Amino acid sequence: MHILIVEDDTVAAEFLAKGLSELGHVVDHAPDGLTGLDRALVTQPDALIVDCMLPELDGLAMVRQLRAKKIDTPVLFLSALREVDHRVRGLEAGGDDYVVKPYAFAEVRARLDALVRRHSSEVTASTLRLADLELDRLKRTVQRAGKPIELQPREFRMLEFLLENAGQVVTRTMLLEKVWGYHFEPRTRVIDVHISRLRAKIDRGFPEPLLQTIRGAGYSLRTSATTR
Amino acid sequence: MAGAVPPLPRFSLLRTAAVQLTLLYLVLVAVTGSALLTLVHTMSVGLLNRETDEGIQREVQFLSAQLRRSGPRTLRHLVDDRSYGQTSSLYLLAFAGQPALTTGNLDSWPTGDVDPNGWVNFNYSLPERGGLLETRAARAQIVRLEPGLRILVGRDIQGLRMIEGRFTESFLWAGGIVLVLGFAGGALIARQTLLRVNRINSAARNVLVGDLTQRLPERGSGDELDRLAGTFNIMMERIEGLVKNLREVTDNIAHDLRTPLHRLRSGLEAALLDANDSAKQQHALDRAIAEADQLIETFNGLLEIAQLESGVKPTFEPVDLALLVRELAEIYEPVADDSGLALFVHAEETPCVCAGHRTLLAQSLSNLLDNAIKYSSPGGSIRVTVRVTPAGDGELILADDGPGIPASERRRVLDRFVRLSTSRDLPGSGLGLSLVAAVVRLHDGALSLEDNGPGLRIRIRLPGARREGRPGGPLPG
Repeated sequence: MHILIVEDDTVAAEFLAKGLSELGHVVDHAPDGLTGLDRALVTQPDALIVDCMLPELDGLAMVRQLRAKKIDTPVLFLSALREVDHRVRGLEAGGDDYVVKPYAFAEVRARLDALVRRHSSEVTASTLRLADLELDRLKRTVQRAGKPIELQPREFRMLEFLLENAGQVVTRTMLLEKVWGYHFEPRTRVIDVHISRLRAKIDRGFPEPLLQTIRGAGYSLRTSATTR
Repeated sequence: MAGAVPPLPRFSLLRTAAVQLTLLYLVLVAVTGSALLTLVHTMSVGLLNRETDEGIQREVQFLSAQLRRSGPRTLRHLVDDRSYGQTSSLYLLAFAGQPALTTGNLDSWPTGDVDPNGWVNFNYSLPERGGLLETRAARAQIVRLEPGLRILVGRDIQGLRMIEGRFTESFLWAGGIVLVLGFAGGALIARQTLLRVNRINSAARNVLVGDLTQRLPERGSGDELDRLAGTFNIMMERIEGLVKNLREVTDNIAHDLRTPLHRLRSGLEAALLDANDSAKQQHALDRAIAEADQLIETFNGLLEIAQLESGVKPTFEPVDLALLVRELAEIYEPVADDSGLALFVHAEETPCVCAGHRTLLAQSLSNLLDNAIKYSSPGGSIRVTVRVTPAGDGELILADDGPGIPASERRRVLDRFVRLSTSRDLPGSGLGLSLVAAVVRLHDGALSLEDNGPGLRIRIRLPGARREGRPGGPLPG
């Protein structure tokens, strides 16, 4: 995947670029908004990581111009501003997601993966499958190896989100956002407790565990065959 | 701390608002007063003058008619009769070439300018009782009734002159009094106002050079300057609080961040020494990341609180407190369960809607639940209640039966970084409650910590809640 990082802090950009290249992505870097806009138009990357505060042309304005040119490449905003309304402004400008600095690399990676996946396969298949686990969105049923599994509505939503991003890492904040709709970082590991309950329901009694904890990053629903 | 304070421009009394207003007021009074007096003058003295002239004209017409009807002889008798014993009407009738026939109560023809219509103003002498002569003012018309026959008909206008004189006199007095009182009153008011303004000014200048304890006396009169003084005092209270807070925060940051930074640094140094033991190194790096995460959390908390207290209000939206509590309880229920705690929610099914920031309120509630779970012992219970108070506030009460907070410490725990000594060993940044306090302040609400006997009861009130879906206001139509 070709990723363009628009970030004036070269150390932070190098750190991101290094991490992403190790994952096999082709990474390009632009130090300011004007260059970023130019590169985005010329090289047509698969995804953009844009800092909100940039010299020449700030990130929000840059993305607004991209969107005005009908370019819908997924954009992940980075921001050092923890202003409470900043997230909303970023999304209004045409960003797809938002990460606050300082961030963990895992957070950026997980969100970027989710963005690109959502963008490339706008599929809303009625049945999501991973190995012998099956979730039916219409009937709102879950079964594994043919055995029905009873889930609470939130557990269902959690599993649905994990299945949508099967094989990829999903962070705790992403889960809180997508499943409960809250944008903050819980202090204690509330999400872990919910995950372990879900795990008990879908993995207990089956030979292959699907719901895995990725240390320092989050969770992933994957089979041993899909593990990278 | 403060930069150079620019000097005040040179003081000039004429440039003060009070003096300018007084002068303007005086000019207005003078103009209206003059207009009013001119009107009164025209209507009183002017009327009297016109009546005098009309009386004279009527008399001249009457005498002229008598002359035509009955001849000069009868006219002379008539004038003779009318002159006798008269004081207010003046007559003089003369026949050319026959001085002996001259009659009337005036001794001689008036000297002075006679206008083309025969009108003349003059003075005449009237013998007083003491034998002295009194000079009196008169107005008359001199008419040639027929060739060789000249008559003067006049009126004594001494009284009118006196009225006019009085009028002018009172006009001048009144004007003088208005000017003097206006100036004196204006100067007094100006002085009073200036004194108060100067007091505010010097207090503000003292603040500029660093004295934040400056306050102004409030008289309770509720006038503009009093309100200004009140606002100034509130502002100073706020500034002093903020500066004090800032100082404390700086101290606390120095103290509480230096420790983890030091641990982080020495951990990394140790990892360098363990270069050939990759397992040890891995462990040290993990520790370092955890340490850094803790630092980041603390920093983020600090920044967030600072931002909440910067006074810039984020966009508020209607937030249903009951729904928020139910959703967060759903998130925390399994956590409480794992810690052996029971979490109860008492929220009405009807929404309890306040204008607020959903994320910040959710984060606050999450911090409170975190604390309640962290400090309670297994077997305990946590109760969250949401209700609309009779006064129409949204009220959220979170009660636990943990160790509680001693009454003496309750104010202090709302400050940043304060963690009671009993909880030093539990993880956390010590910013949880102060964030809640900041969020409540942002919503113009009230936060209180109470004794739950045993345990802690936290009560949050947010203004302007309303139950939705219940008949309350007037129905449309």
